[in-house]
Amino acid sequence: MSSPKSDPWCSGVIPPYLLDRLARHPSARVRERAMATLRIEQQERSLRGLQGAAIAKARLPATPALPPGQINRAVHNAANDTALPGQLVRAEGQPASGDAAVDEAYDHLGATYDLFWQVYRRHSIDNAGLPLVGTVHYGQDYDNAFWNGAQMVFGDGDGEVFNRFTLAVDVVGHELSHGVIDHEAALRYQGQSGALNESLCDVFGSLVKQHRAGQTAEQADWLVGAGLFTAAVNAKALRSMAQPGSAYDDPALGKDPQPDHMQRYVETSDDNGGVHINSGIPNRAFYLAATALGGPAWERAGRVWYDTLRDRRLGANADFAGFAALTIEAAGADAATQRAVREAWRQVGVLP
Amino acid sequence: MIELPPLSDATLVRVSRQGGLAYLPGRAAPRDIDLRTCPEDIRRDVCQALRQAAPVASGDGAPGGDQRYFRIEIRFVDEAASISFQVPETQAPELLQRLWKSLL
Repeated sequence: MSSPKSDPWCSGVIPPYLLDRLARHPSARVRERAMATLRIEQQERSLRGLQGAAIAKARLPATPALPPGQINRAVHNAANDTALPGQLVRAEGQPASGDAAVDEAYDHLGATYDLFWQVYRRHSIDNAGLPLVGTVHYGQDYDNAFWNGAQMVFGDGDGEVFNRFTLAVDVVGHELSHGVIDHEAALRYQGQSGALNESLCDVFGSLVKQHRAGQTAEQADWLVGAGLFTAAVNAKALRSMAQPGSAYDDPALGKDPQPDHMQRYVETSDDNGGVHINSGIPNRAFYLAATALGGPAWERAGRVWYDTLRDRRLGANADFAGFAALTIEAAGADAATQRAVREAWRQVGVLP
Repeated sequence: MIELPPLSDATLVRVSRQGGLAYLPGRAAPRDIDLRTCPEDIRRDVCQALRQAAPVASGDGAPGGDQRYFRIEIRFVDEAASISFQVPETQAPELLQRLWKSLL
């Protein structure tokens, strides 16, 4: 290695070649998209010394918690910028805005609160009435949704592969569930604990969808993110809990890589050690338990999974087998539930 | 935050975008810039992007909750000196984001 010195290659100003190159792209849409720049607000830069969740929380206005059973939503509009939370456009109790993304976020946050409150008596993300804050129209053609440690964020999608991310109630439920997990087991977002984190979000996201539709386990489609993909790609959804690995197969996306059994567990350094890949295994275990028990999945299987998430013995570095053992304990004295749960984990190869 | 070594001996930069609500293999391929053969202005841009990214970089501990991040690997003439780091998408400098898009 050379001795430290200034690098003459790196001292120039930014040449316009990148903008020129992107501006000459044959697709008008790509030209526009490529030319659009994601601007990080000065506020973001000034807060860089803080860590992500602390940054996110620092941005939100202080709002008092409401009594148990009372939801408190706040939907903001980032107006295709990336500053969070953006402008408040629909607070709790206000009428529909007419903006589909705003109103979907509002309604789907409501559906998620309803599941957690009506079924599990959980009062919001922290069980203490934390306001549910969401931001829509984040970024330019942004094809993702995420939880930043304090709020949910939804992109509009690029319109070519992805539709807007507020369309799918289970995706909104998924993101809010990340907040719930942060306040309970805080499962580390890496490897098996990360895959459990992702799977629990899919489980409760799917239960939000089923609860809202009044579906039994047999009636549910067990797809996560149905409707997010445009008709231009060969994709049913982001994931299938019933048949992991079958959600999409398209040249633009590749093939759904989710395994359905421990024999096909994917060892990878990508995706935080495959958190969105290997979550297929516990996802299928939940599906198997819920359909074996029958009826509304949120009642028996959902209760077991929720109680396990709240079990103080569930550590941040839990693996599949450790989580499975706790679900069997959580099934408690109900022998039929315990049998179904144990058999589900056995079928996916987590337990012998 | 990391401190970058001098980049005059850098030979290759590999950038991948990780995380997100789903892992899509068709969109996960890393993008390489061969600094030995690329035009001077591109090399200058890449180095500038790396310098801007270094103050917000982390060695490990990716953000959770479906948040995206860039994984950057820099290789040098001395292969033992290779380094890698991560940059949360929400803090990634504009030039890095532009470079990522331009490598499509």
